Order: sequence, then C-alpha cells, then structure tokens
Amino acid sequence: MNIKTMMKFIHYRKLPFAMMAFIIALAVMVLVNALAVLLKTHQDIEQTPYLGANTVALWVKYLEDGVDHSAQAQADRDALLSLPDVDVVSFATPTPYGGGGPEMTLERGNGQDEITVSVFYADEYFLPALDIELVAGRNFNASEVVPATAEDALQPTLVIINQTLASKLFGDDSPLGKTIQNAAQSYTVIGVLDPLVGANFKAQRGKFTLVLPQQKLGKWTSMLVHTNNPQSIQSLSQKLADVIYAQPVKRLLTRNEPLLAQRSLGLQKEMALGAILKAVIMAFLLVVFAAVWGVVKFNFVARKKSMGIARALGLSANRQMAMVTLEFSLVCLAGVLIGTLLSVFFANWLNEAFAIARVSNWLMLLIGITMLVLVNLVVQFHLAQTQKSSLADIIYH
Amino acid sequence: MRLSTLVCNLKSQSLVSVLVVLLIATGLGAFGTTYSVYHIMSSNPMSDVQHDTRYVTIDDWSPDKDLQWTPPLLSYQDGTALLQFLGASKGALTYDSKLVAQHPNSSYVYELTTRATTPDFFSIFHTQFKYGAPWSFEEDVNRTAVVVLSSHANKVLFDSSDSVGQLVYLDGKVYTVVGVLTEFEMTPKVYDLHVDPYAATEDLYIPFHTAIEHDVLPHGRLLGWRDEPMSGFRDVLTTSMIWLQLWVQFDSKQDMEAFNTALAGYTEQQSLKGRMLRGHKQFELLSSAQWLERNQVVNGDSKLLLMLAIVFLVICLVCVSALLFASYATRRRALSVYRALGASKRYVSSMLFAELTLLALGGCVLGMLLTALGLSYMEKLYGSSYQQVASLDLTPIVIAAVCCLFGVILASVLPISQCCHSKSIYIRR
Repeated sequence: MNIKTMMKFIHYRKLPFAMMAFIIALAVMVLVNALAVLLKTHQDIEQTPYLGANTVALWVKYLEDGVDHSAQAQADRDALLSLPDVDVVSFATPTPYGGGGPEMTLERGNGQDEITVSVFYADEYFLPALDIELVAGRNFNASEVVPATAEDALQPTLVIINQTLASKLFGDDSPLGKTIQNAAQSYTVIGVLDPLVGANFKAQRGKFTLVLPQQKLGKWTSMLVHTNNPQSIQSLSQKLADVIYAQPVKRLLTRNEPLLAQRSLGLQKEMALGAILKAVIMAFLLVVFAAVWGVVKFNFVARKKSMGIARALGLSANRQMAMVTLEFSLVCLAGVLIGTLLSVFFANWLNEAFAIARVSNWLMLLIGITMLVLVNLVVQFHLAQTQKSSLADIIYH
Repeated sequence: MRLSTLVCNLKSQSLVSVLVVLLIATGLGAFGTTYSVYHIMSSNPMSDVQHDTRYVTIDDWSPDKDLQWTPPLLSYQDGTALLQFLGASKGALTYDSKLVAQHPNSSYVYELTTRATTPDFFSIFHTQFKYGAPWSFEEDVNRTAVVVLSSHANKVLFDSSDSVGQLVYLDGKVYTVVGVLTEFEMTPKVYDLHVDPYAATEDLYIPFHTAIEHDVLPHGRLLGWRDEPMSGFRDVLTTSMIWLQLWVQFDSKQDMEAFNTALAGYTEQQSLKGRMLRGHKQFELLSSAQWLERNQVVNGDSKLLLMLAIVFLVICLVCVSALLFASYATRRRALSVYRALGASKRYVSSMLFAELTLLALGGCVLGMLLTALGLSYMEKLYGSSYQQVASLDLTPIVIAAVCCLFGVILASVLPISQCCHSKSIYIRR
C-alpha cells in the first residue's frame, strides 16, 4: 500500500474530495457546538423542579383605594376555601415560576463572602399548597407567621431553606438550629426542603431559595390554591375567577393558571431551542450523508475501469478494499481535524457569550468516529456493488 | 416525454432522488423560516405612504449626554404646541397605556392595552372600522369620554356584537363606544417602536385630551434630564420630560414645507428661552423608513440567522450538484442508448431537467411544510411578542421557494451539460 500512490489518487480527484472534507469539517463544527447548546438546554429543563401539579397561582390586584387590602385578601381566601375542590390556600409572595421576586444577600464567613438568594414570603400553608415534603426539620406553625397587619418593626426570625442553599452554606453539616444572616437580621433555620427554585428560576440566584414566615398582603396579593381533585385543575381556574370577581371590592386577576402551565411557558424557549437544535443536527447529518454518498459514488464510477485493471493485474479484492477505504478515511480525518479546530474557536465564543460549557473531549471523539464510520459504511457499500460486477464488465464498461 | 417515464427513471435511482428531495426540502426549510422572519421584521407597513407621513423629533436633550442619541419622544408642551402648526395637515399625538375595562353588567374586569391619541391616528395608519367611526378633533379637545375598541376588545367585552353607543367602564370612569375596528395588525408597529416593536396593536383607543383629563398614566418610557420637581402626573405636563409621539401627514409638499418652517421658528423661539442646548440640528421630520432604520428594528440575531441559512442552502445545493454528477455518471450508458436511438442532446437535457423539476417541486412542497413547522418553533423561541413576526406569510415563503428552485436549476446546469455534451457515445458490447 503506497502512500504516494494514494495521495496521487486523491490529488487526481481533488475537487470532490475537497468538497467532502469541507462539508465534514463544517458538520463537525456545527454538531459539536449544537450538542453543547443542546446539553445545556436539556440540563436547564431537567434542573427546573416539577412543582405544584395540583396548584393554581392567583395574582390579584385590588383596584379600589381606601379599603383594607389584607382583610379583603383574607375574605378572598375564605371564599376560595368554600369551594369543594379547594383544600389549601396559601398567601405566598412571589409564586414559583412567576418571574422576578425579592432577593436577599446573605453574609457568610464573618461578612467575607456574600450570596444572593431568592426569597418567598409565605404562611404555614405554603409547603402543603405545593405538595413539598421537608427533608429535615419542620414547617412553620401559625403563631410563627408574621401577619400582614403586624407593625413594620416586627420581622420573622425563623427560616426554611432549600437543600442547595444548605449545602452551599453548611456543607455536609445539618443546618437545623444554625443561623443565617443578612446585613440587618439573623434567621434560625428550622427546616430544609428539596426541591424549590426561586420565582426567577432561569437565573443562577434562583437555585438558592429560602422561605420566610410572613404574610405580604396589599394592593397586589398572590395566592397558591391547592386542589384535592387533580382532574379538575383546568376547570378550577374558571371557578376561582368566578369566586374572586364575585367579591364586593373591585379587583383584577392578573394571573390565574396552573403552576405547571407557568413552568412550561417559562421553559418554552428552551424546549423550542432544543427542538430546533435537534433539527439542525439531523439536517447536517443528512447533508454529510448526501455529500459523502455523492462523492463516493462519483469516485467509484469514474475509477471503475482503473480498479478493474488493477484487479486484472493481480491486486486482491481485500487489498483494493483497504486502499480505497484508507483514501476516504484520510480525507474524512482531514475534515474532522479541521472541523474540530474550528469548533474549538466557536466553543470559546459560546462559552464567553452565553456561559455554555465546552463539549467534553470524549463527545468530540465520538463525533469524529461517527463521521469516519459513516464514510466507511458508504465506501464499503459501493465497494461491494463494484465487486459484484465481473472483471470483463468492469474493463469494458 | 411522458411523466411515467420520468418517474420510472427517478425510481431507478430512488436513493439519490430521495436524497435530492430531502436536501432541497431541508435547505428551503431553513432558508424559508429565517427569511420569513427577516422579511416581516424588516418590512415597512407604511412604505406606501412614507413620502407624505413623517415622525417629528425635537432635540432638547442635555449637551453633556451622548450627542449621537437623539431624543425619540416629545414633551407635552412641545407636542401640543406642534399640533397648532398643522393647519389642514393631519397629526396624531399619541402615547400608550393600560386601562382596566369592565362591562357595566359584569363583575369581570380586563386589563387592556390602550392608546391615547388624537383622531387623525386612524386615517394616518389606515385602520378600518367595522362599526361606527372615530371621534372628531372637537370631541377630543372637549375631553369627551369616548372609546374605539379593537375587534379583540369588542369580543371580550361585548361578544363581537355592534357595541357602538354602549357604555364601558375604563378605570372606573364611564366611556361611550363610538367605533369598533376590524382586525388591525401592523408588524413592526411603526407608530410605536419603543417598548416592543412586534407587540400586537392596542385594544382600546381614547381621545388624547380625555386621557390627560382622566390622568391616564403612560405605560411606555418617560425620560428626562433636567432636575424638575414632580409629585404626580399633572406635574409631568409642565416639565420637559419626554413621553409623547407625533406623526404628521401632509397633503402636499407645500404643506410639509410650511410645517417645516413653523417647526424651525418654534425651535428657534424655544432656543431663545434657554432650551435646545445641544447646538446642532434641533428637529427632524423622519419618514417611516428612516424611523425604522433609526430604531434598528431588525436585530442582529435575525441577520446572522439569515446569513447562516443562506450558507446552509448553498451547501445543500452543492450536495445536490454532487449527487447529480454521480447519478448521471451511473446512467451514462442508458443515456447513451437514448442518443444512439436518435435522441438529440437537447432532448436528453430536457428530460434530465424535467426529472430534476419533479424532484425540485417535491422538495419545495416538503420544504414549505418544514418552513411552517420552523416558524411555529421560532415563535416559541422568541416569545409571544414575536407572534406577529413568526406568522405564516405566504409572500416570503414563495420568494424563498422561487430562490431555491433557481438555485437548484443553477446547481444542475454543470452536471447536465457535462452529461449531455460528451463527445462519444459510451456503448460497448
């Protein structure tokens, strides 16, 4: 097997081989980075907890001034609880997946380090409304929740934190009974829950969450309404709206939908991006397959006679197969190498611009091997077709 | 040349035929989707009237701030003063807001997007009325509490019936419905590019002066640079805060020049009062195209995606060309038999073009389906504000299909000509 002869053959058909190498390089570049973005997208979706399958989020805006908004909110709660399908109503600000939401900066290590966390202000029904079980500790009781009518100076002193925050602050130690603090206040941890993300679940800070026992009722009030009849959750929204709008004080329901619907809406962009990326990956695999098929077929048709003569002069079928396979593999490897180099540059840009992690080397190797296997499969198919013909057929064709 | 013969020929090279169709469809799908989005984003819905419709800007901004930035809005003082200079020309002084609407006989309330505007808005932006008509300028100046509903608002409040003359509560105040629009869409929303150029048009339209009277707060931007004390909405009216937009439409060039002269005189006068401190051109009358350009409505992402899609389409067409080369090389003997039996080169090329046309048509049909699918995913990717942008508009899709067909023809010229114009007939045996 003479490398010089092989290079001559490649040089003789340089245009189609160059086209094949270029398309393979482009495909490798696109596939590597598309996979990186697809993995990140998939991770984002998987890491968003699946909360509140039986819960509807209500956001109410009281339109009339001069009324006692907190008393009105309590009246709304009582009215909602009178519905047979409703078993729990919790005042919670904000509601999960709602976007935005208050934040707090916690100090750690004697103020040397800070961490921003998402905050929920909620009552003792918050966890039952979301069907969340604590992994350690206990829930608030009614006496520990600071009511909306309390004076501003009265602040909660207890807190429930999520597992991610607990690990960040205390490592493997139990956080129960320990204190966390911000610039103004200390809180004693009484419970740990998992999972929960902040209202702004897309942001990094949304992964660290704490719940403070305090009712925030005012012109804007938000509630979580839990149903004991999951089948009726779609029709529940209408029933809740009927109850809310039947109340005497004029108000506007700015949000009234199941929590999971809000989750899907929030992840809609990621899901669409995932679908588009899968389409892009399939499209490029199709293009590579078509390009390789076309080039290999054209190559074999063009050199069928010379292959036949080589066989007639004593070259064995296996040796011929090895030579041809090696030629195409060399071109494919060249394309894969160029594509890998290009993808490294592109991956750096993705990492800087969008914080998308680079694909692992194993995955890049897998993509390279996939290209090589694809090329060789096509080559072997055409070789098999060629070797079906008799020598006379090939020479006199 | 029969269709059955062509189909038979294609079936004999079934894998290549399928690959060619899929390549054309994929290339067209990607190009069609991105071009469709780009076409709508970059279109100018006001292009047919741009020669006589202008957007007015006045530069009363701080000389210490970025001199490249021209304030895009007007203050209340400037907007209302300029309305006096219009004469017979039309002017729409407008801002956006949100109001809570309630049918008098229902406890349900709805928060609806609102545009406070002088009545010329409806004629300048070519709205059509299904019921009723807009209010008059006198009614506007007299602060009459009237409202024009969009078809969506009319459906929500009055179940799509003729609601002219009916009462509706807006933020607790009683308004009378004087008109209902037909479906009014404008993408991008040329008359208001600030908050969201691709948002849907408003649900409610109320007189400008009535909105001021009823303290209807602006929902969009409220910008200022001077340190002016404010305690409420009424104070905004006396400050230099900018928040209004003024569109003017002229019947003739003379009217435009007259307005231009009046505007120059006004800014000169204001300059003497200590305003217009930036020293350079103090006002502009921009056409809709210039206004779209100024606001850079088409974002960089769309342009990049379009370029990538064009590159992808070219790659697909190059692959089609390679496949055709290979396919015709395999069929050389069969085509030579045609030639030996008396078929001319022209006949053979026509036959190959006809086969390719069948494949291209199949690819285009599949490609258009993929485009429709792609647009639905683009809408989800960009959010609800892109609903108008990612809508299925036939014009750009047809343009994309025609471009793709043209590309396929170009890609096939070399393989077909090489196949048909070879000098010898390759038949041996």
